[in-house]
Amino acid sequence: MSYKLGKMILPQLEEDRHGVEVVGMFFFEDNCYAMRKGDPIGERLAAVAKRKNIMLMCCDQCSYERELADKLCDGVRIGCFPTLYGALSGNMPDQVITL
Amino acid sequence: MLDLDPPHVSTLRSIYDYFQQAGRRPKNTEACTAGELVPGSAGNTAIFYLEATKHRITKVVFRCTSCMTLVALCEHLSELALGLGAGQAEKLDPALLLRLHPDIPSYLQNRAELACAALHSAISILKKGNEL
Repeated sequence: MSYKLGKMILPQLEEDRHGVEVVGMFFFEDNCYAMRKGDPIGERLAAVAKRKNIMLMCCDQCSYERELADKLCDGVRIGCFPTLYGALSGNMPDQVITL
Repeated sequence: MLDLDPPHVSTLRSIYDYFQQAGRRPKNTEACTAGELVPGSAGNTAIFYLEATKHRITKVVFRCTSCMTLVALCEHLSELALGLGAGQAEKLDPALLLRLHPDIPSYLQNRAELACAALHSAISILKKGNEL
């Protein structure tokens, strides 16, 4: 998470050099911790997501289990697969990358 | 506000706990009275099946869409409703659920309204049949 998101993808998004339009990111398991309010990576990602209209969502079960559901960065929601599909239905991705 | 004595109301168990518990709830609706299938936001629905004996709820089964928060709230309602008469069961409301689960984000709190509406529908039908 620290390298792939924090040092590679996030700077690329911030500097508009990632190469494709990112429509959404979905976080599972312990990766949800990165989206905690106050987390340096999470706050930067939330800021760039707001600017670029990127949907950020954490798995609801993973978030409740870790007591994060109400402690995420502004604009980051929790949800399950139907929520994710619904949120992306207006701008479906051409490629899905799993990290 | 519903005034229930511990251990009937637990404030210690989380949405995550109730979601896990829901997976262990028997799904057999035999001898139960079905409420109406209640629609909610984002395509969610819920329905409760109740059995009453001597005007007390003795069995609770529910079906709902796969929203984890909704599943957990339906499960918690099922636990709360068991053993209650109509008067007390009708007092199970969204405000109570949200007090017990303050970590539910605001944009998901309407799941509590859906769960309660579905339970109240089944209670209403049982009452009409004079079973509760």
